[in-house]
Amino acid sequence: MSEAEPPNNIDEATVRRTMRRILQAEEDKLHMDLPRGINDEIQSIIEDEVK
Amino acid sequence: MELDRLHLRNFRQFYGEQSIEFSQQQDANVTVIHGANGSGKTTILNSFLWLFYGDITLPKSGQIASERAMAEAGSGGTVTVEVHLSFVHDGIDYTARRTKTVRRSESGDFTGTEVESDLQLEFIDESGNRKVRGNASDALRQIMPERLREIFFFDGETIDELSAIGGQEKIQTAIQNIMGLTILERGKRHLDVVRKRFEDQVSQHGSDELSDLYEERNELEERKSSLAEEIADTRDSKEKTEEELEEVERRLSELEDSRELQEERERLNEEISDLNDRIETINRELADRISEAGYVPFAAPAVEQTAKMLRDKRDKGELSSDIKAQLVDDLLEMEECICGRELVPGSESYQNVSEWRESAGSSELEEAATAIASRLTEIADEESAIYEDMTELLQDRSSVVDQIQHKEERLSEISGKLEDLDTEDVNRLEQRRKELANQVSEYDQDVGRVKGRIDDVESDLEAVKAEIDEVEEQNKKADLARRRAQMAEYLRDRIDELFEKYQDEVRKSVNDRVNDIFQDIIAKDYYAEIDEDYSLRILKDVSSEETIPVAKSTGERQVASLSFIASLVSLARERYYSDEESIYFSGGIYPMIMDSPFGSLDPQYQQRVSGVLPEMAEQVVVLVTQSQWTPEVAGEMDDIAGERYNLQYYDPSEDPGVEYEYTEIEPLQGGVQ
Repeated sequence: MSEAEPPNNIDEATVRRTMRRILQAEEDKLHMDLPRGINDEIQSIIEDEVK
Repeated sequence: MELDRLHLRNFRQFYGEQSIEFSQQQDANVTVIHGANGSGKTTILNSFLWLFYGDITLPKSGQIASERAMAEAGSGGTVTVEVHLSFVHDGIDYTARRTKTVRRSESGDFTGTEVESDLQLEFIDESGNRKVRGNASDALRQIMPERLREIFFFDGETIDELSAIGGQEKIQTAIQNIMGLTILERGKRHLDVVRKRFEDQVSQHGSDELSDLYEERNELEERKSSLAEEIADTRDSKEKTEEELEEVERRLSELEDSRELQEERERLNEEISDLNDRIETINRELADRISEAGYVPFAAPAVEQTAKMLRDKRDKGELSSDIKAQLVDDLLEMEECICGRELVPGSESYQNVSEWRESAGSSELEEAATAIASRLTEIADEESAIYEDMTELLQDRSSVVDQIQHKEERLSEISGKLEDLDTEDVNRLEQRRKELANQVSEYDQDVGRVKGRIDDVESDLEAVKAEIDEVEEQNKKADLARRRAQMAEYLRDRIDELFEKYQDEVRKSVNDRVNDIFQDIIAKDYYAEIDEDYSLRILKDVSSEETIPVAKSTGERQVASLSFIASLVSLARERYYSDEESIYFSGGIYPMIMDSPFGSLDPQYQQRVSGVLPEMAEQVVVLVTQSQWTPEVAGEMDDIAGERYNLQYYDPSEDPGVEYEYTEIEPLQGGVQ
């Protein structure tokens, strides 16, 4: 089990949704050996979900 | 992905236009391409690589164009090379086309210089329209990922490396890639990077500055409070001194020698107090007047300029007119002029009156101009008035100041006279009164000074409070960044758990499938295993409880590798058709294109491999030499080969009629109809 905890006021639905968005972003760039911009995308997703 | 047709034009040794149609029959899903060594089997494989990835793995990789075509083009001539594949993917019909045109510089040049190149991917949309996909290169890599090329476009002569020592990494990578675990693995890595970004933000925004500012604010508030207490103390002292002063003055007014002078002094002090009130009133009136009309002197030049402009326009007749448009309209409507003449529409007189409208003035404009002119005049009048009022108030104030001064001079005289009196009590009292009056004055000055210091402290407090607000805002940012870093770390751990869990599940699934296929092929009592280190091993039982690894022959390694690839393709296909949703493992339908899959196998294994080939994928393409097409293989493959071709190679060294090597693709009869 992970030791880290989600931030306060973040429910499981938000965690799942964020994870799904991140994995979708990864899949969209899966064909690239160097997925340019993926870190920026993941950062934006987390910023959008954790306010 | 289901292959339909491959078309080559001048690609390497394939001179001119040639094509292969792949079998799409369910029960005869194998396409067999026969060819002697050097006839172009590996080139066919490379045509896929060139189309999808722009890459070939053949010797003289820069020499793309057919030698014969280049020779015929001559010096300065061009040759266009093309590979064109039509296929179906996810239910959509696609056509991928890569072309390259090269110019031959001189005799002997068979590489040429690139003139242009192009990659295009067309598809048929839901309405049946042909459309072009943007970014064809990316799209093709999404359909057939490059990292999987060794699995789906494999060279039978090297495929045994998977099960050789050192093949673990390739096996692990292949499993991760085709089973979608690469998404999870990348997600973990990228979340680590993003977590660090958020942690950097925490460092950037968060600081100990806030507690220092709070301390500073508290100190300032304490100082302000202390100064306020000082003022209060000073006022108390002043009050006490004023009480004593009052007492002294009362005593002076009781003493006969000093009474009259003291009474005059008291009267003068009252008058001075009234006059000071008057000065305050005048100052307020001055301030009010300036607030009300202080702009006027500054606006005066602009006002004058505007008034002048209006006057000029009026003088030129641009604003005012003797004739009003309304009058003209009324006359025309009544069809009667001012003089009484009838104005018949269309007559000369009617026309003359109509023309007056051009020089008539607009009443609205006239009214507006009049209003502006009137207001400008008012402003000009106000300027005079404000100057008069200000002058009067200032003069009044000056007069009051003079009166105060005069009365203070008299007070000073009275004080002098009282001091000069011989009466000891009066003398003493007057001196004491002066001391006390000076003391009161000093208290007033002290209060004024402390008030000034309080103002300074309040100003500093405001600045510190503003800084606190700003830092608190920064701290909010730090707090938010901390939460986001925490989220990134938490997600990373969750994905890691998923990855570990599914990686092991997937390995076991692949392992079971590999062994099933392997045992279908291998006659011996061996079985294949992908262990926890991702080594592809062949084992045998020596007892009910003991197994040992087998020293693998090349053929056994090849079978093991083939079994591994087939298991991945099978699992990916199963996943694709599964209803279960998972973003990181959607599966896929892939063909298998194998160059010399029977390479090092014994005839017995060749037959068995042939037997299981059709089940390995929805479409299988095998490129085989004659020596590999043994009777055993032919016996297994004849029924399942939906399409068959022969690569007819023309070798200049063996045929004098052939100047440059080339290969022709010949369809063979005998494919299952």
